[in-house]
Amino acid sequence: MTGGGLSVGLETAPPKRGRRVSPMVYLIAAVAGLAVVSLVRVLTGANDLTSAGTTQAALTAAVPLAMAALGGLWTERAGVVNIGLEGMMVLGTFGAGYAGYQWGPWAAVVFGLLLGVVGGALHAVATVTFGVDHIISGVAINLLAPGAALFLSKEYFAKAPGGGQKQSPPIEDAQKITIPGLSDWLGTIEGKHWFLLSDLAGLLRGVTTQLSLLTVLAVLLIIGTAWVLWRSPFGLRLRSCGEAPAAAESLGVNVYRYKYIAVIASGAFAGLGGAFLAVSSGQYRDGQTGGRGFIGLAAMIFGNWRPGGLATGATLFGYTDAMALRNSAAVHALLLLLAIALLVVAVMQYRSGHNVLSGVAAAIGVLFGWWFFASDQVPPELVGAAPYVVTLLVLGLASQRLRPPRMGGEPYRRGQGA
Amino acid sequence: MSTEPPAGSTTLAPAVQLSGITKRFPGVVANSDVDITVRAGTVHALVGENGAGKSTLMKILYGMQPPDEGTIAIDGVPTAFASPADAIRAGIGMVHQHFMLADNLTVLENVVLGSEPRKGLGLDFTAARARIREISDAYGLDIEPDRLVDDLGVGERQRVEILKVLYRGARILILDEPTAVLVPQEVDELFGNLRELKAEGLTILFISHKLDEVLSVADDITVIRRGTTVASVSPADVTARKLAELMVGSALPVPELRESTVTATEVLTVTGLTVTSADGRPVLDDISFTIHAGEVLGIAGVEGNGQAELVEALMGIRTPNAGTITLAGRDITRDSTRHRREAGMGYIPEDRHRQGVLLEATLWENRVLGHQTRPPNVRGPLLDRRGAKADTERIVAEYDVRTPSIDVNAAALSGGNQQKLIVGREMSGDPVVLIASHPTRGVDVGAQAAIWDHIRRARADRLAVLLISADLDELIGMSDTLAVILRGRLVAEHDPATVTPEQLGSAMTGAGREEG
Repeated sequence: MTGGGLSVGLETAPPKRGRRVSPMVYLIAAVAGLAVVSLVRVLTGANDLTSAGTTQAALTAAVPLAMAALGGLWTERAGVVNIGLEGMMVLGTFGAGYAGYQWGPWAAVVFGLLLGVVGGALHAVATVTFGVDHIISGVAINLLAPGAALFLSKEYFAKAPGGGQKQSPPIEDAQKITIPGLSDWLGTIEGKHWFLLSDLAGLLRGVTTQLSLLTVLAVLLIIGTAWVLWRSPFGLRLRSCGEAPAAAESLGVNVYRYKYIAVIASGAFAGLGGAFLAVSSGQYRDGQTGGRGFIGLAAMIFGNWRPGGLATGATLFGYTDAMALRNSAAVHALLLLLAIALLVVAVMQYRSGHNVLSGVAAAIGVLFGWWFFASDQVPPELVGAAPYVVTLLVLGLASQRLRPPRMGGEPYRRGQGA
Repeated sequence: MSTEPPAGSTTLAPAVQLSGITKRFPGVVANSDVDITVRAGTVHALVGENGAGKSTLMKILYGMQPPDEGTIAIDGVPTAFASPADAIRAGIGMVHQHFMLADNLTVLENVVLGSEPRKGLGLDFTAARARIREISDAYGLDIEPDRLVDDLGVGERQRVEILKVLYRGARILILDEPTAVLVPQEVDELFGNLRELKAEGLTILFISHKLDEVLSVADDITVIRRGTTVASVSPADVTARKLAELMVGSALPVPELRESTVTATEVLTVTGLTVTSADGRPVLDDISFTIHAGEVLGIAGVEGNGQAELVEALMGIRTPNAGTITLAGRDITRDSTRHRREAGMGYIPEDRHRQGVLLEATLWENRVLGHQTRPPNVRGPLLDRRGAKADTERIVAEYDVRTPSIDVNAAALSGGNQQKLIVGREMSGDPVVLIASHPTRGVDVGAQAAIWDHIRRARADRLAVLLISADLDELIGMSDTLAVILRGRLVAEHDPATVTPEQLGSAMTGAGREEG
């Protein structure tokens, strides 16, 4: 009955889409990107663009962002939107401050994580059990957490030695590792300011010198998350809750439980991010997070809800952050870099047929290019805004091919899909 | 040819026996005293109109809802299911009408979800892949485990659903209206798969209201009407017509028009209408026709030959590149959709969920849609809730929309009742033209008869109707004039009084053109 000949003429070829990009392509793109940066460095003489110091600062800035992004990944993959990451991060910074000055950096990390868990549990109860709109619950946590942290810091830090109403006593930094020999040798090459080679040396020296164990931990957590979410039964079930909860329920997956685990884990990661922030800057300060929870979320969206992507996004934002802190001449060079990047985006969007988007990208790119050539430096008031401007541009112009979890942000009630 | 069921199967305990099943919901009795016996190793069809209670019954059997009364026996053993997990354990698998698949996961991930093979802490992808290939080969499902579900066609998705159920060791498969989403060739393939499953000794419960399909694939048929079983028959003993009458409980409606009501008044005139697609190809090419008051113009054609674009151009959803549309002497080519509707155009869209109703809005809110500028729905600048509700009550009564109240969401209604609500809405406000695109698609016979009746009545009231349908009997029976559309052109005109479905069919594919 089902002779193969019967269906001839009706079969439509399935659309072949290049979903899987080979690692080679990524490598080539990375090298090309570095070459462009290197070119800009040589042209502008802003050697800080790829120096080891910048790399280190970028990594330090990227780690809290990556942790927040990881928190966002866990919760959104399970279908819960968590803009409360910022608040949970604030709780993490306070927890780190409280434990850190008394018992050292690793206690700070543990306490930061635990306070993040408290925030995550709150969000889980509100969104999963009570079906509160995810955004509302997140906003509530973002309003609640800084207030609570400030209240507690007045309570506990005001009388502590070296502390104040809005800051904790200093926290000792975590151990750092340097690969002996290699670091000095790379430093020599970096000092020559050769095209590409020195830049590569700068990057490598940045990651092999005075590397914080916290950074190592963060990298391990990203890799671990990728394995757990994509290679284990647990991760498959968790992701199914964000894609098709009704289907998951029909196969005996306890959707509520997985959502709870995901949201609490998300709080833990955000708290960890807060703790890393506090430890690496040596103390808890009021308002220390400065919107990093939101930028982390943006990094995750930029990374298309994938661990590798969010790590790239966090590094990008960490890099601009580090740039803004270190050297305004380098920020000026960044303008040129951004102009080039936008023109590349314009060409790519034009080739995939998005003419309007391409035009916008080209126009903004030209604008940045003009700004670069018409000025000698970026006004210091604007330097601090660099990470946000980059966030906005990247998200606005790159978000065309993103694939968020299908049921993200949708309240789920058991039995509704059947 | 299917093989014989395993020897002695007649003496075996029935695979499924439902006795005296009753299920009440607030305000409705979904099932009352249902008795069904399914022999092991057979395809058993459960037929009934939409809303007759088939789906509720299957949810009870699958453990999604407990029955209020009655017993379930599987292979002769009385059982009670608290959840689908219990039913799965008892060897029952359900293929839902709306697929329960996650698009962004691979076939493998969708299949193993919830009962994953493990290797250490991780998922054993190798074992899962091998097992899926094995099942796929054993039953001829032809499924590739590593493809993304998003990339699969409807037929393939359905086979993934079947595979999912087999992977969990199901011996009894429930298929809820499996052919609703398939094209004829895919239906043939599915039936081939079902015969193969049956040959392996599996039992299949097949829910449908498409009677030709039921007759071709089922070994036994149970008919359900208004929540209760009315007959158990063998396909050899009944015809589709007899079965339909059992389903509806009365003689079957026939699409036919009585005396001609066509007048000389031109209502809708289309001249030289041309629409090109984004890539510059003409999808409508120089279309011209006139519909008079009291006339039904039927348009026949294989789907995708420009029908959808024609309807959209007429309703102002798509801007034509050339040509004019005149409504009762006034040029409306450049008018907005709202102005066209206010000028008296009614529209029954082909996809009611996408364009016809808001599923998550109440019936009376749906009544307001498209008429949001006209009484009885508005008073001054504000919505007139009382007026809209009163008029919705009128539609519910006149068009026999079966609903507990007008305050429930449209999603709570069966497809046929949603369609009757749409027809009632579009007939409100004294339309002069009705664009009816597949008005009876996916509705049961009862609703079909009612909708035909309303079109006939409207025609007698001097309404001009453009009827587009894939059901050739409907087109021939309901049209005063018949035109065939092929690749965006009107290629032939036929007299519905003399044309046969076969002639129309060959004209639609372009084969009959030279015969003229």
